[in-house]
Amino acid sequence: MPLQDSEKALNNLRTDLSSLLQKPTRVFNLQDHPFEQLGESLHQPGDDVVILAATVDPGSALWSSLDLIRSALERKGPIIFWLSADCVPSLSEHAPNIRSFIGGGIFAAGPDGGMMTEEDRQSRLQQLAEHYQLTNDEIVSRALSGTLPSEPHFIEWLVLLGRGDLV
Amino acid sequence: MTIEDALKRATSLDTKLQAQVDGFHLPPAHKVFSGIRAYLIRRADEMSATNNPWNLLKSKEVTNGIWLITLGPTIDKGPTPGHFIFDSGARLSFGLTLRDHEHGTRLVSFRYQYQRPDGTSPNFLRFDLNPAAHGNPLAEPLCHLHPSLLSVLAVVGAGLSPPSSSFASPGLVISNGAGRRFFFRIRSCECVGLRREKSLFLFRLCGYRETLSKVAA
Repeated sequence: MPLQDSEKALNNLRTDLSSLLQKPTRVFNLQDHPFEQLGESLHQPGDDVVILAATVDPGSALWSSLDLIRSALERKGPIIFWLSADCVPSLSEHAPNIRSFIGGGIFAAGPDGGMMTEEDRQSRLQQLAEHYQLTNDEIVSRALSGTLPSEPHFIEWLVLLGRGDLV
Repeated sequence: MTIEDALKRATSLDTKLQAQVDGFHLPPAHKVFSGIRAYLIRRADEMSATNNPWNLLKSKEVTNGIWLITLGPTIDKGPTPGHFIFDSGARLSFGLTLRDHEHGTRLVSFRYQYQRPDGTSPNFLRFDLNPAAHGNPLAEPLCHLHPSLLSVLAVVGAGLSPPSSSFASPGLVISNGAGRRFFFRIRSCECVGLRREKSLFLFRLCGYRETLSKVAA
């Protein structure tokens, strides 16, 4: 996953976790965050959601050190590791106890299914056209002339046509 | 009360509501999306009906910072896998339009259609927020409720005669204290096109005038 997409996906995960668990979510980048402060940070507070992120392998030394302070990972709130694919073998090799904690709970992040597909967009446009017996061009024309009724369906129609400028 | 008075009060109500909507700041669109999805997931966990909220909700961003968040079909023509299903058999679909504003978003419009099981009355309720006030707020309030027309006539007609007098009652248009808490106004629906919508407006306004004349008498 490209770095930019990864950051966006991480941000979305953070938002989703906060929404679902109704708790604040903090992200610690394992490459940047001072390791000596990590254990303390995890417990102040200890009941929120924490994501430990590494988009590139932080190295065997860090994984080994993290494995040594693994008791610091025991807290009331959940901890999620957000790792690039190349980090997982390194974690498994140099932090075997943490790998054991994680067990089978490793999931591959895929694209968010929440984005509307082109097929869905076309289907919705077709529903609107059939329902109102109007074409896309007629809707745009009416919007431009100020004669389009002020109804949510027509606003959606313009949005689906990519004409946010007419909303 | 004259129809002119009613028009003034309806305009005033729309103005107040517009101010409320303009002052209603929402988080960024992706956070609104996430919040709705989380809510649906929690609700789905509480119910017996099978839903997959992770896949039901869809969002689309277009130019000019406009966002569309939808669930279910745009036009409800019957149950689909895209609906959110309740234990009662009712189904929900909605569309929410947002506009980027500063560090968050503002509401542009929404429609929430709550479709009840076949044979129930009213068969559906649709809550709409229009993006701007209509020229005639008596015909099209900024925020209103669409019930299915035939069902509403059946419900209202059961205890009141003629149905139109209650259907177009000024109490539904001009909010009192209770009305402000439930600020949607009933409007006939079953629309299949602009022409049909227009005819329904005329029907309701005729009923409204009839009611006013009775009140005045």
